[in-house]
Amino acid sequence: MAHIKLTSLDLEFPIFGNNSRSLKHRFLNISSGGAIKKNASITTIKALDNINLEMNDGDKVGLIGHNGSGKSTLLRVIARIYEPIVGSISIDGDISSLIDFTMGLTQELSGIENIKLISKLKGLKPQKIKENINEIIEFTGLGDFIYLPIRTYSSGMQLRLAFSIATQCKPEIFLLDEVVGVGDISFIEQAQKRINAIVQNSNIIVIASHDSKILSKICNKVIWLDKGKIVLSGESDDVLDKYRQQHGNT
Amino acid sequence: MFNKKLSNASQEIIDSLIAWRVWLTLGYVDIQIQYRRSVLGPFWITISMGVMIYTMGFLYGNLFKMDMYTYFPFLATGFLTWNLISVMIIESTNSFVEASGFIKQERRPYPIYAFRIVVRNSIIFLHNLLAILPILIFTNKQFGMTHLLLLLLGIIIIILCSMSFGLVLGMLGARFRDLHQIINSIVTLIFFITPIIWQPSMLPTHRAWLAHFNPLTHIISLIRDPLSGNITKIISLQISVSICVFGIVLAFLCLARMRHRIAFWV
Repeated sequence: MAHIKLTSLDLEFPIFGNNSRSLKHRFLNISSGGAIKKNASITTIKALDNINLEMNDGDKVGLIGHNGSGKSTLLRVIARIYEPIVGSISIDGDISSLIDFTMGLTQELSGIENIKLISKLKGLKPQKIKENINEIIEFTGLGDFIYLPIRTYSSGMQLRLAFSIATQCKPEIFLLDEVVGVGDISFIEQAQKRINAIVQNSNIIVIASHDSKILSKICNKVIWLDKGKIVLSGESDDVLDKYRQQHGNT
Repeated sequence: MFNKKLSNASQEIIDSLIAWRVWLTLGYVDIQIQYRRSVLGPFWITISMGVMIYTMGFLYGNLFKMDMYTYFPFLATGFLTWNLISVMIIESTNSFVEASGFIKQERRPYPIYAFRIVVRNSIIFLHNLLAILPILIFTNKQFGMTHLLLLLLGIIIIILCSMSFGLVLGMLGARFRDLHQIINSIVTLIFFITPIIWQPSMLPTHRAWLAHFNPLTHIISLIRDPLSGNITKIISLQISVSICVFGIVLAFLCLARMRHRIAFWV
């Protein structure tokens, strides 16, 4: 049983100016009596503001909003990467996240080595990795490219690889950011099938995107974020219609 | 509130120890990539270190008018250990920044990225050991079971120290990005005030404290003494173990305070 619940959650993001990241400056400030308040260069940005949401089994939730509206941040909060100080968060279920797909890949390693490494990072036993590996390779559709270093891949190919690894064990909660758009049409269809399979296991998928077309294809619920606040949430068609009305036909 | 943070921190440590496969693999893969970039891989470092030790051995041995049979192994084992410790200190300040791709992708216990640095450098240490092996074979004929056990004990203490201090340095280095440069220059300075190329016995008696109060003297001798055929001094063991315990406590406290901020810093 997968379940996600966030209650009145705030997240502040420290934005470091150059001086605030410097230990040397800290010491200089102390020696100058600290009269000049240089530390004010730590600005915080309220990335998420009073978020309340609940997701249950079978939900295919889309997050829509501009760049910088808090979509990725919200995904990272659900993935427990960013810990909020205000508000409560309760999550049941294994999480697999694909938030910035190039980030988790090691460019020097071949596709097959990346599969092994990331599977190990996910905590899979060597035996299990051996079992899964052929299926993953097949799903990537990369053919012999799987033996070449990742740095020779196009971004679409890297996406195929990262997506196949992230969805390998049919996670109970799957978080996906922005990425589907990079793939070609055949991959998007393939990915859609895999996503549907995950949801059929009565689990939760959260997808962030600024492309309302992709979300309307995949999701049954949509949350519209703006400046870190939830503008509207509900059935996907309703929310996406209202979103389109405000933003033209994108 | 702080109690909860402490228990979170210990859970984090336990989780990362359970995930030993992960950090062993990460460290191993780092070495694998080095080999891929060049045929000799980490042996490039070994070669340059070997050349340095052999030339310095002859030069300083003659300058200080030392007996080569004692000075050569002293320098070689000291340099080997110093290389291990100093590189780990410097690289640790970057451990989380280096792993930011992994950190921002999926939640995993943070200490694994600090432990990875220790694994990677331990493998390089074994490479470097080969470079000074000829010296040890020529000069150290009395190496026995006691020395081997002391050597292993020393290595374990050094690894535990590096894991805990490395974790602390990693978190501070993620927050303060100039820590890497600062530590870099401090480490160079420490090289000269630590008995690595000079022996404590060369100091005039009223300056001997310079060597004895330097904790690194004792930590280095954990490997140096057994490798060069001596028995590790009790005082060195006592001081190193105390440093180690202090490091573990410090790592716990720092992890409890800073763990939840790391993702924002990297």
